Amino acid sequence: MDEKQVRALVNRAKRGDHEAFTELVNHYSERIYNLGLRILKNADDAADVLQETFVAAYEKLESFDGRSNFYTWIYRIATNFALMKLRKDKKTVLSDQDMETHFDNPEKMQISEWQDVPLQEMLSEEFRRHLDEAVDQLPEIYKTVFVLRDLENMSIKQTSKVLGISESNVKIRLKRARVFLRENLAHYMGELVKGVNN
Amino acid sequence: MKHHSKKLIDELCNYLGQDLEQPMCRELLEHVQECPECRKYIESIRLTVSLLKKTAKDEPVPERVKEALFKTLKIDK
Repeated sequence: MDEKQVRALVNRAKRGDHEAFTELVNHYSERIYNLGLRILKNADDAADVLQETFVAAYEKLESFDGRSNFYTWIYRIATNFALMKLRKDKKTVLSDQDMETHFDNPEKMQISEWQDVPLQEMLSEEFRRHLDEAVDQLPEIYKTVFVLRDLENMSIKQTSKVLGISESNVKIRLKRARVFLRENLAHYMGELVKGVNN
Repeated sequence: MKHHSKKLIDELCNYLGQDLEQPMCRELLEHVQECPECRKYIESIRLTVSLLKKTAKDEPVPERVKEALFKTLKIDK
């Protein structure tokens, strides 16, 4: 469905056409559900985010003025609900300050050596679980940027609109998140190689 | 990366926060062609992102979740 078709559906839904809103739900629900899963790592929480997002979108549809596209608008609502849940339920292992200190200057960083791990290991369930856990350890402000930009394939500009932060801020957070994940993975690969050699 | 100039480190940091498929600025590109340490580092960041993309598979919305949503919205599927 292209942007023009989405706009036509939004206009119909604004005039009270339930069928048009149903089409919007069907079109975006899987993406919103998966966004919730990626941020919250829990199917029940992702289902809550999906529900809260579309209820809010239904109620606020009148206020959607079409200046941004509908996709950005609905992602913004969903991300806010997911963040509220995350803040309520979760302790963050690393603080913003930690990220700034450790991942802002490669000169000062203890860069772990990147180990070559056989492809088979990279495809294992355990490896995948580790990747998931690494993303989960990111402080929320970095996790949301990483999820939106790198996993949801949004542009820097769209990510900045969804989160309501500047594009340069998106880039700084994205760099810190990627460096953190790279370090985490390098450390894990080192352990794997040690295990294989012993 | 201890012996790199601040300007180069800044260029590298900028690049790591952008679209990793985009070409690097000339200065960084020239450096990376000569410096295996930086080349390996950028490649390892690219590999990290691509592994995470590959493992992030989309899940279908469970039918009961969709039903509950339409029930709450009081509209038909």
